Amino acid sequence: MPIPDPEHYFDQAEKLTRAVGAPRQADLRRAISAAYYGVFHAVATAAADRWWKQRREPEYAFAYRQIDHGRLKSICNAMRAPLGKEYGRLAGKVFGPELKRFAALVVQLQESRHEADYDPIAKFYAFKVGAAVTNARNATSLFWQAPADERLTFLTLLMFKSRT
Amino acid sequence: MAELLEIERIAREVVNANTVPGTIVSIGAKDGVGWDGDPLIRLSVVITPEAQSNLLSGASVNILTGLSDALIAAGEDRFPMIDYTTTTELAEEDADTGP
Repeated sequence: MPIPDPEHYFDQAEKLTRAVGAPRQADLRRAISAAYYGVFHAVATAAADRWWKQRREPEYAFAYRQIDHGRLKSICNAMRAPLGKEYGRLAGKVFGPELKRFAALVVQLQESRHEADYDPIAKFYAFKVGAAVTNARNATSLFWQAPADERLTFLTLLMFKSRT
Repeated sequence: MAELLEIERIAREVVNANTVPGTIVSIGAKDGVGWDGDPLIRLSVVITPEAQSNLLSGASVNILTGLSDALIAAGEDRFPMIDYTTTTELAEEDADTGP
């Protein structure tokens, strides 16, 4: 199954920002969105790969679709500090520098993506968009640089809700 | 919850620590709300055009995480949304706004 490749989203975002002359707002908005979606697909793929090995089977797509934007944001926001009691037995868990940095970048990218897609009065400048694409690439690298056990904890938080 | 002036002071400190001197033209903080209704802090950071490459080469990541940590340490748990703009961009006219 052709899983979305995060690098292709980042490449697309860069192409959109390299327009000749002043970049159009529409291009800058699409670039922000593509940058975020590159990270989102990287996370969704990592989660689905943990759960179901055969990418051609419908169960894989089902697992992939379990990752939702709101949950991703709330968990990433929570990971900036020791996890709170709403995370049950994982309360107090502290993530290392790679995933903490990744988490902060995800929150920033997701907020920017919402502005880009839904806020008609937001104004986008090329530098901000370039920084978002760089941040998206960095976020994905940090995700894969993190210790495997921490990454698994993060994916577990994403896939399963806590019952306290 | 920290005062906006205190947040601006912390932000200036963190940006200065991660960039070359003279990068910041201005920093402004205001209360905001995220797409999901969560409160956050919106920080507008205006930089010199010369500072762009420094920020793109990794300083912006260090600033975001450094600021997040510093704010949490100051008792401020709202997420800092940082918007960078250069002085050149601010001076430019809109080329493609709709009717």
